[in-house]
Amino acid sequence: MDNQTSATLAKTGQGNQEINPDRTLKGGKFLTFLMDKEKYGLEILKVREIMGMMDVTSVPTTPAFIRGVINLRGKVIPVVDLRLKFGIEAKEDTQRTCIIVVHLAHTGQEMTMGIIVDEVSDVLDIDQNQIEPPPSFGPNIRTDFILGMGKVDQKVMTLLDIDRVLSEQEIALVESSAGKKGH
Amino acid sequence: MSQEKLTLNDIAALIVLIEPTDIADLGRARRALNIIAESSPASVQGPITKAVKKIDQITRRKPSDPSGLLADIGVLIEKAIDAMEESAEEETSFSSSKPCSVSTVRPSAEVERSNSLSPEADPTLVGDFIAESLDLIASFEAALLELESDPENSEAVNTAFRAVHTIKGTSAFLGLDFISAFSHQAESFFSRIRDKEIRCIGGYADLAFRSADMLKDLIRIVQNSLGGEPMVTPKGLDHLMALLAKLEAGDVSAEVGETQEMRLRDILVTQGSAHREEIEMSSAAQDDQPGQSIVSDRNASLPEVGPALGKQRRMYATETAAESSVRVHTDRLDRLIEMVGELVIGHSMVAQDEMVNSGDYPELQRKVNHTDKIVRQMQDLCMSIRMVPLKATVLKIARLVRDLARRREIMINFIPSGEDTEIDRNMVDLINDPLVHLVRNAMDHGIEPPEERERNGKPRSGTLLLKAYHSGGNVVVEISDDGRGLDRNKIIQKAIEKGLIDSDKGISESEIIDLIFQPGFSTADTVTDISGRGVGLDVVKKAVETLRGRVDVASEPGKGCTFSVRLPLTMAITDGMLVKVGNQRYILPTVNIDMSLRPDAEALSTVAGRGEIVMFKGKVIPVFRLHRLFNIKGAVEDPTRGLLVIIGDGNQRCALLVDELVGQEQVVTKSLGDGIGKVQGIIGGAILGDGRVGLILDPQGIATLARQTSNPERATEVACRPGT
Repeated sequence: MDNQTSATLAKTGQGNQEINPDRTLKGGKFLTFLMDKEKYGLEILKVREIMGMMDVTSVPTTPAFIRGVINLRGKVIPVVDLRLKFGIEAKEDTQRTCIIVVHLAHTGQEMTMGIIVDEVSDVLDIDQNQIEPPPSFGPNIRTDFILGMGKVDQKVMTLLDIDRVLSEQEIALVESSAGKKGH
Repeated sequence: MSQEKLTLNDIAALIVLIEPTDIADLGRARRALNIIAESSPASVQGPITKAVKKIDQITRRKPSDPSGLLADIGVLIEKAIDAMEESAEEETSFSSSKPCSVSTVRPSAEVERSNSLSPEADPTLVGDFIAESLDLIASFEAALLELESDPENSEAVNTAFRAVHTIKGTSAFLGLDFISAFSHQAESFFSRIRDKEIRCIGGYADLAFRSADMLKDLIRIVQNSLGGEPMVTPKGLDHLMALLAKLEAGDVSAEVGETQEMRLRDILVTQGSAHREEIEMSSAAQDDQPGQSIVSDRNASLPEVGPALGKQRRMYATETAAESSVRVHTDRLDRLIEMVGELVIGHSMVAQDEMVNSGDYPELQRKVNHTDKIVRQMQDLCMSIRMVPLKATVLKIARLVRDLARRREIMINFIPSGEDTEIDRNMVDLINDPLVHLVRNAMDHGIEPPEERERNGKPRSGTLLLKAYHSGGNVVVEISDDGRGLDRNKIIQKAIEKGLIDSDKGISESEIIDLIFQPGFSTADTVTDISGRGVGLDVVKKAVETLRGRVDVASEPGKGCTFSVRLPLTMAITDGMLVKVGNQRYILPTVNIDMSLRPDAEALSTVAGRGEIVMFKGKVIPVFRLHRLFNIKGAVEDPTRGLLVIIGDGNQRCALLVDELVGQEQVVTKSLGDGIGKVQGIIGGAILGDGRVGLILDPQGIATLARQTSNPERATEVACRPGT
C-alpha cells in the first residue's frame, strides 16, 4: 500500500484540475438516486450492486465523509458518505438509505467502493442530446466531477463523474487529513 | 525444439541408448535425422534416408528382431557420420550452419553469446526452468557443503552431479547455450569427483562453489532477460570455464581410465566385445555422451555398445527416484487460503446461529459440529500447504558462514539444527535478510580470531549455532556464537560519542541492548566489507517488526551472545485479542501484547496535566487512551475500571486503555481497500465471526500517533499555564 500511497501523492502534485480530454458526454443508462431531495445520476456501468444499509465499521483518523469499511463477501471495501462528501448536512440513516457499490478505474488504479445515498430511484435512458455540459460557476467552484446536466421531463439532474468524485486527489486528501479529525 | 539441436553424433548416441520399444525416442531420432538430411549433401542423405526407413520398420511393423534393425540403423548412422566428416572437410562453411551441439566441447572463447532468448523459447517454460534451476542450485550448494565436511560422501556427489546434469539438459532444450556449455564443464568436473579421481576439498571445493555462484548468475541473467533485458554473459564465465576445463586437460591422459567412461569400458571388456587396450586408447574424455567416442574410434560397434550403455543407464535410474510434488502458482494458493478463510467465517456464522444453538434441533447441531471438524482440518491443511522448511535459508547461511570465515581467516563450526522447522512460504524470503545480518554480525563482532581465542582459553575454532524451533505458535530462530559477547563499556562509550545517551548512570542491561538496535550504531572500530557500517541491527529489528515478530538478545561477556528472532508462523493469519472500546471492537495482535492489567489508582499518575503514566513493576510506562486517540464515544474513561494492555518492548513500550478483552480470535488480515490507503495505527481489516469487519491495530503506529498528538498539546498546555 505504501507504494500506491506515494504514487497517488506524486500524481496529485502534477496538476490539480486538468480536464480529462477523452471525457465525452455520451448518452446511455444512468442509475439515479436522491440526496437531500436533489436527483443525481451515475453511469450504470460503474455500478456493481446496490444494497441496503448495513453495519459499517468506522475507521479512526479518517475524514468524516469516510463512513468506514464493510464486508462485501469477504472483501473489505471502504464506504463514503456522499452527503458529507458534498458538504450536505448529515442525516440519520433511514429504511431507504442505500449503499451503491461502484467500481472505479481511474488512471489505471482499480478499486471498489461503496457510496451511501439517501435513496435509489431508478435507471434512466438519457440521450446524448439531453445532456448539457456542466455549468460554470466561476473559477473558484469545481465542476470537474460533473459529467453534465441531464434534462429529463423538464427536470435537471446532475450526472456525476464518480471516478472524479472519489478521485485519487480526494484519497490523497484523506491521507493528509488523517489524524486531524481525532480531537 | 531440442530435436533441431541434435547432431548426427547425438543421434548415434541416442540410437545406442534406445530400447526398441521406446517409440517416442525413435520418433525423436527420426525427426532429427530428417532435419539433418534436409541440410546435408547427397552423400550424407543416402544412409540417413535408409536409417529413417529402418526406424519406420521398427515402429510400424513390429519386426521379430528389432534389436537387429537398431544395429543396422547404428551402422547406417556411422556411415552418415563418415560421409558428413568428408563433406565437412570439403565444405567448411557447413559447420556454421550446424547448430551448436551440447556435446561438443568448444574452447571457451568460442562459446556463443545469444543476446536474447531464442524466439521459440516459451516464456512459461523458461519460467519453470528458472524456478527448477534455482531449486537445483540450492540442493547443489547443500551437497557441496556436505562434501566439504565429508569428501567421501558419494550421495552428495551424486546430488551435485544430477543437479548440474539436469540444468544442462534443460538449458540445452531451451537453447540457452551458454548455460548448457558451462554446466557441461561443471558436470565433467563433478564426474571426476564422483569417480574419486579428485577430491572435493581445498581448491577444488572453491572451484565448485564458484561454479554454483556462476550458475546462479547465469540463471539470473535468464530471469532478467524475461523482462526484456539483453543477455550478457557475466564476467569471469570464460575464465571459470577455462579453469574447469584446464583441470580436466591437465591430467586427462594419465587418468582417463578413471573417468565416467571407464565403467562403460569395463562392461564392454567383460562382455568380450572389445580388447581393453584398444578401448583404453580412445581418448575423447571430454565427450559427454558416453559411448560415443568408443564407437567413433571403432573399438566396438554401435550395437555392442548399446546394451552395455543400457545397463549403465539402468544403474543410474535407480539412483534418481525423487519424491513426487507439484508446482502450484502462489496466486492460486493464496486464493485457496483466502476462500478457506471465508469458509471458516461462513461456517462460524452458521454455527453461531440461534436456531442451531437453541437445542431444539439436536440433529442439526450434530451436523454443524461435524462440519466444524472438517472445516478446521481443512484450514490446518491449507496452512500446511503454504509452509516450507527453513532448510533453504539455513543452507544460504551455511554458505555465507563458509565464505566469511575464509575471508576473515577465522575458524568456525557452523551447527544448524531444526532446519525442518516450517514457516510460511511468504515469510521465508523476508526473514532471510535479517538472519544474514545477524550471522554477519556474529562473525564480525562476536567470534574472535583463533589467536585471541587461544589466549582466552577457548578452542581455536568458534562455534556458531543456528537453532530453529516452534514455540507457542511462533517460529523462533536463535543465532548464538561463543565469541566476545556484548561489550558493555564499548557500547556505552560509542553511545555517548553518538549522543544517544549522556552518561552510563543508571543504565540497565536491557537499555544497553536497546542501544545496539539504534540506527547508525556500531562498535566496530574499522569498517570492513562484512559489517561495521552501522546499518545492521536497526534494520534487523525493523524487518522483524514488520513481520510482526521481535528480536531478543542474551549476552554474557567473554562467553558469547545469542540473538533470537521470534516470528509468527504466517502473515496471512493474525492471532489476536479482540478488545472492546466503546461500541467499537478492535483486534490487537497477540505477538505485541506483553500483558494486561487493571491498575490501582496509586499506580497511575499524570505528568504536566496531560501525559499519563502507570507504574508497573518499578517501571514507568506511558498510558494512551485508545478512545481518545480514535475519538470513540461511550468508552470507559477511568483506567481503574477499564483495562491496560501493555504492548511493545523497549522504548516503544506503552499501555493502551481499553474497556475490556472480549476474547481471542484468529483472523485473516485484509487490506482496507485502495480507497482508504494507509491509516495510521491500523494494519488492516479482518472479517470477524459475525461477518462484520474488525480493524487490526498496529501497536507501533498507535504509539507514534499518540506521541505525535500529545506532544504539541503538552507543549501548548505548558505554554498556557506556566505555573503548572
